[in-house]
Amino acid sequence: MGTIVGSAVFNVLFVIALCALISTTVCELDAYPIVRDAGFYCIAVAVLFTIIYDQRVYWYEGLALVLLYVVYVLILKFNDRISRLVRGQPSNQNPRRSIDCHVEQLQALNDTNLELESHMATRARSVSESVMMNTHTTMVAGGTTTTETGYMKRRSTYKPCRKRLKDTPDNHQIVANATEIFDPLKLPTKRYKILKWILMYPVRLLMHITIPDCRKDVFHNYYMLTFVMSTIWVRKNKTKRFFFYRLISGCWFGLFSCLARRYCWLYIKYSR
Amino acid sequence: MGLTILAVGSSIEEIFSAIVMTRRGHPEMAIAGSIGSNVFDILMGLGIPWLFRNLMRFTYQPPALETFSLTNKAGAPLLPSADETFANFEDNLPFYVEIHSRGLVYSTIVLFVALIIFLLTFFINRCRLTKLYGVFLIFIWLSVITIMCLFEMNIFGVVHQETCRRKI
Repeated sequence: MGTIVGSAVFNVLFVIALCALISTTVCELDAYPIVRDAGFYCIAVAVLFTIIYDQRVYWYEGLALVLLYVVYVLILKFNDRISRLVRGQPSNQNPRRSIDCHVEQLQALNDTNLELESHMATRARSVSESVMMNTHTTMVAGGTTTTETGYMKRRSTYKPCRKRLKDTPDNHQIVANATEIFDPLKLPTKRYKILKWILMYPVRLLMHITIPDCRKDVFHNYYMLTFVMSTIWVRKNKTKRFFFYRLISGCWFGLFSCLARRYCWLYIKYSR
Repeated sequence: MGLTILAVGSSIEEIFSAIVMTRRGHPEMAIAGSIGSNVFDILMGLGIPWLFRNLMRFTYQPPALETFSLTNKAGAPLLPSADETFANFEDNLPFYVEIHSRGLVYSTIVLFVALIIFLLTFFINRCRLTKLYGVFLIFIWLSVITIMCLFEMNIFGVVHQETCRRKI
């Protein structure tokens, strides 16, 4: 429990402080997700306090914690609706801000579309242009549904573009630069990268084999498997690290106790 | 106390993921991830072990009933008979997991206060992350860790039992 509470404080304060220190520009944040998470976190801590206040934990209290987590997951699942409910209220600032946000996202979307467009055949181009027109019109119409439709359309156009992109070599390089898919057979071109490549090779090869890359079209539907495998790898590394901590600290003690046990055993054996 | 400090080690992944996300321009994702993982830690990481420890009681069988019928030479039972054991067992019906450190209760309060401070200052700062705010948060973190450690070291009165200490 000390670990959990300690890491909680560390995560909340130190990680956010790091975010603030690292980011080069002053970042304006959207208040809603942070208020949601931190508010629920407050509730969780308050419940935890009431549970451990008498220093006894009954079974229904443990069950209450688990159920509270289920509630949290449900809140996250209906996040869109709730956020719409919160933002849809007729206060003037929030909707404007969300629309700004949408405009920004659409801008980014159009940028990517343009980038892809220059490498596309004429037929696909006409499709994407019509989609862009559509997004523009819906954007003018306003409302929260624009990003959803835009996103759906982007996905629908993105896939064929990508398949087409893979045919030509320079386009392939663009995709590789954007996503950095690991290729076990390719040596890096720059000399100073080779040492790092050799050092990282076994690890990356293992990861490449065990974790299906959901960015590829073949594994696109197996993103859950990717998630589970990554989690397993992270857990493994974590336990290994704790093991090494123990090993280093307990090494001398373990050596001495082992020797002592052996001598005791010998003593008992030969004293009879 | 050691575990409170060691918690830094257990959230190194959090730091790296936060750094990567912030570099790529999603600081909200980093913050929501760190807070959400904490919610998971508290609710599931504490809830499930406690729940299962309590439920294990229902499947618990008193060990090896034959040993209870052993008698010594006088004929009196050496150990309480099976019935008596069960009676005692029934007496302790509301089973619970005991937490041996009072300091943890205080640590939870400190955590709550730190969270409230974070939220308030976040709104005072108008939902922005500035460098000054980062330094301020690190300062708060250091002070919170110090307070927790002082609690565990029994500075503010005895909050939990002494750990094994070599007798002089």
